[in-house]
Amino acid sequence: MAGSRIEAARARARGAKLALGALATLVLGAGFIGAKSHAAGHAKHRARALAAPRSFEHAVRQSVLAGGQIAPPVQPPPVVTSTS
Amino acid sequence: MTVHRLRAMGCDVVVCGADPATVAAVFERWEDAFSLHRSGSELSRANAAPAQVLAVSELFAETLDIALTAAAETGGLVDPTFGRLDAVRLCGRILCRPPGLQLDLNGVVKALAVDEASSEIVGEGFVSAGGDLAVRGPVDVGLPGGGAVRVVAGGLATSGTTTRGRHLIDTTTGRPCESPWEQVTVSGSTCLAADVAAKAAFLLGDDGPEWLDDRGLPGRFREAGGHVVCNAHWERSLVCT
Repeated sequence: MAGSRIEAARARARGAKLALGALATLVLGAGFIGAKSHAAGHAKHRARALAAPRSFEHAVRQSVLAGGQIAPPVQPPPVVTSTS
Repeated sequence: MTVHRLRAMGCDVVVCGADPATVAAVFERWEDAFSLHRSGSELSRANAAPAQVLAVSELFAETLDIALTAAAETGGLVDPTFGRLDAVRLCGRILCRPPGLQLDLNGVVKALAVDEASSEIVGEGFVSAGGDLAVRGPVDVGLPGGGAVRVVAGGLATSGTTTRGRHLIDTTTGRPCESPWEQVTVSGSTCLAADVAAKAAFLLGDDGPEWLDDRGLPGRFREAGGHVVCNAHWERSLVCT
């Protein structure tokens, strides 16, 4: 009778140890995954250059190629262009 | 208006409305930095340097940046690297390129010098160097081969083969370009815009007029026989001259 009570107590202790171990592993794993995906020091994506996107640069930078203003001449030209 | 004449960059420079000595100094500064005929120019020294990474002057970096932008906007037609754009990196004043790669900034330097010189104009006037011209206020300009146009604002540039022969290089072949045009004249918001576009349109041959129209640039194309073709933007601006 006394032996069966001791055996039952040992079984409960083993179960408690297993439960505590599983819980600790679960908490550690969750913490690791959380740190990996949220902590600032962990890379989540491929590294990219610290520069404005090219589309933004293109929109901001004035085009080298922009048209000028011409009209019919009104007097004899003081200058004649040649060819470069 | 008093017109002054001087020589710079191997061509006649005509100045109206600005101090000719100041304009000469502007051209000398650009020539001193970028002439390939001067062994001491920064461009000649950079081309001769064996190092892969170079620290260049602010003027050099800005000019190269403009030339690389022009190359990108013309799809590599006006290219300071002659087809090796991907090999050149510019970060601020640090230039990284394979030793031996020869840069040629002639495609933009004269036009930039004309634009800078035109900023010295007081009131109305113009600066013209070879086929490149920038104005302040409207100026009537005679066109090569006859005809005239009033440049209201910005610049006007003519590229072609009549003065310097077949000097424009087709970057796809590395050889002087075969073009149906003898001269291509373009009106741009600046002399730089006009010059880069004129070179690109010349190199594009038959596709030149449409390419300019797509970008809103007026262009006039003259064939060797004297026949003149104007794109839609030029014709809209004036009766074809």
